[in-house]
Amino acid sequence: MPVPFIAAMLESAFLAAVAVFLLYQSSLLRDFGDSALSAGLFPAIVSAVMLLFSLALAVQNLRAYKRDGGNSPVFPDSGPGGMKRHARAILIFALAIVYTVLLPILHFAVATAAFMIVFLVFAGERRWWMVLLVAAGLTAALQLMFGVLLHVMLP
Amino acid sequence: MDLFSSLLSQASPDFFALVFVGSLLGLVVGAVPGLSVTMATALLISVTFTWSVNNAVALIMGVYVSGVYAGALSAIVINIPGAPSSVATTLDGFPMARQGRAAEALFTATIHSFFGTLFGLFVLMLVIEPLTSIALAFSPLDYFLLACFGLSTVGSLTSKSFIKGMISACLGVLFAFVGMDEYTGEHRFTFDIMELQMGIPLVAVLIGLFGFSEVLSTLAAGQQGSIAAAPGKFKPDFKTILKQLPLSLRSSVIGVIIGALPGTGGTVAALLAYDNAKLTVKNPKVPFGEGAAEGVVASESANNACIGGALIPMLALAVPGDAVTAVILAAFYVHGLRPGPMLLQNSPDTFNVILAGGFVAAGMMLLLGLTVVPQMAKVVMIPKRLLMPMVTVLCVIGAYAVESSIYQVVIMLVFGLLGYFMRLRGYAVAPMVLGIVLGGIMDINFRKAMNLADADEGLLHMLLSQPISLCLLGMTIIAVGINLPWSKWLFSRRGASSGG
Repeated sequence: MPVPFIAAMLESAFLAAVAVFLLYQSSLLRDFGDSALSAGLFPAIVSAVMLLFSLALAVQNLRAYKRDGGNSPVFPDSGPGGMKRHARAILIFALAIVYTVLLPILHFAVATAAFMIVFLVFAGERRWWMVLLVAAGLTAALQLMFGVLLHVMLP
Repeated sequence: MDLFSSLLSQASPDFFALVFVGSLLGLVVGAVPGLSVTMATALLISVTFTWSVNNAVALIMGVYVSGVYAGALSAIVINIPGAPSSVATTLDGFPMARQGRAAEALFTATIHSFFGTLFGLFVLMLVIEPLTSIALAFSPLDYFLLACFGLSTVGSLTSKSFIKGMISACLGVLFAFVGMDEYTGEHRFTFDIMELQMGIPLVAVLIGLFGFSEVLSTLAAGQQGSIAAAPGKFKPDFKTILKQLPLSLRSSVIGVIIGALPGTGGTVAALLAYDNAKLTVKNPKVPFGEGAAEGVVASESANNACIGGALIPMLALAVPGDAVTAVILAAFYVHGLRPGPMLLQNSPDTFNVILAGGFVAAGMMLLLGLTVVPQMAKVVMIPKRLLMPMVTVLCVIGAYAVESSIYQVVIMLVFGLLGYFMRLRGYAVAPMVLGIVLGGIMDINFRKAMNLADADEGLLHMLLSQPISLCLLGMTIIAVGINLPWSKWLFSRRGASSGG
C-alpha cells in the first residue's frame, strides 16, 4: 500500500483515538446531580463531533484511494526533503527549548545573544560580523524596547 | 453639533500631541506580538493617574485606536497577528506580502481600518441608546447561537478540506476547555499539571501557531531568500478604494454589532466579516486565501469598527465589550468618571471628549499608516536566514511578556510545532484559533441556557419564543448549509446546468 495513504489513515485513526480519550475524560467530570451543570457535558459533545469528523476523514481517504489510488491529491504531500525536513524542524524546536530553559538561568541578554549566534549560523548565515551584529543589535533593541521603555520584566 | 463644538474646544496642541503620542505607542504595542493594547492601557492608568481626565482620555484613545489597527502590520509582514483580532488579516495579508504586495496590503489595511474606526465612532455617537438595549436583550442561548454562527465560518477559513477545518475547530474548542471550569470550579483536561489550571493562553497560542510554525516551516524547508524581493511599489487607486467601500461598510456593520455584544470582540467580528466577504464578493482578482485585498478590507474594517461597538455597552451600561474596554473602564473609574446609564445625562462633555479623542486618533492612525508604516514593510526584504532567528526571539519574548511566565513560552513552542505539522498535513490553523476564542463562550452560555430552559418550559420553547434566538439559529443553519461540501457541489451543478 502507498505510504501517503497509510499516513492519512493513521492520522485519522490518531484523531479518532484523541476524540475517544477526551470523550472518556469528559465522562469522568462530576455532574453535581444535574447534567446541565456538568463541566463535562459540552466537552463530551464536542469530542463526539470530533470523533464523527475523524471517521468522516477516514471514509474520505478510503474513497479517494479507491478512486485515484495512492497519488490522490487528498493525501498531503510531505514536500521535498521528507524526513530530513522534519529532523531540521525538530532540531529548531529543540534549540528554542534550550533557549527557553537557559533564559531564567543566564538571563535575557546573555541567553538571547548566545541563542542568536547559534541560530543564525544554523540558519545559514556565514558572515561572522553579520552574526555578531544581528545578535548584539537585536538583544540590545529588545532590552531597550521591552525592558526600558515598556517596563516588561525580562527574565 | 455638540461633537464638533467639543472637538473644537479640545483643539489644543496638548490634546493633539497626547493623541499622537498614544497613537505611536499603540502602533508599537499593537504590532509587536505579545504586547497588547490591554497591557499598554493598564500601564497608562498608573502614568496618567494625576493627569486631567481629558489628557488621560486623549492618550488612551490614541493607544486603543492605533493598537487595534497595528495588529495588521505584523500579520501582513511576518504572518504573526499582533493581536487576536488580526488573525483574519493574515489569511490574505501575508500571501500579498509574499507576492511583493506588502505595500498594497498595508495601504488597504490603513484605509479600511480608518474607515471602520470612523464608522464605529459615528454609530457610537448616533445610536448608543437603541444599540445598548438590543445588546442587553441577548440571552445566554443567543450568545451560544452567536458563537455557533461564528464557528460556522470554518468553511471559509479552510480552502482545502472542510472536514479537516472542522477537526481543527473542534480541537480549538477542546483546548478552550483546559483549566479551571469557571462555572463549577472543577479542573478539566489538566491531567494534574498545575500550570494547565490557568488554561491555554490565547496570545501564546497565536504566536506559536502563526509565528513559530512559520519559522519551522521556512527553515526546515531550507528557504534562504527573503519573504519578498521588495514591498512593491504601490500607487493608491481611488477607484479601487471606492469599489471596496461597500464591502468595508458591510464589514463595519458586522464589527459594530459584534463589538457591542459583551464578551465577543474583534476576533469574532473580523472572522465573520471575512466569511461574509468570501460569500458576497464575486470573482475577486486573486482568490481568497491567496492574497485577495478584499480579505484584508473585511477583516480590518470589522476589527476597527469594533472599537465604537465595544464602547457602546461600556459607556452606556458600564459593561465592557472586551478586555481592552474593561481596562479602559477601570481607567475611567480611576479618573472619577462613572460610565453607565447616567453618563450621557451627567457628563455629556466627557462622552464628547471620548468621541473627539477617537476621531483625532483615527486621523493620527491614518497619518502614521501612510507615512511610517510603509517603511516598516521593508522587513520583508530581510533574508530569511536573518529574519527567522529574529522572529523566533520575538516569539519567545512576546509570549513571555504576556505574564512574565516561561509557561507561556512553552505553550507557544508546543503550538508552534503543532502548527508546523498541521500545515504539513493540510489543516488550517485559523479554525483552531476561532475554536479557542469561541469555546469558552459556547460552553458557559450553553450550560446557562440549559439551566434556564430547565426552569422555563424547555429549550425548544425558549428557542422558538425569542426572535433573536430564532434569527441566529436561522443564520447558523444557512451558514453551515452553504459551507457544507455537498451544498457547494449542488450549487456548482445548478450553475453548470443553468449555464449550459
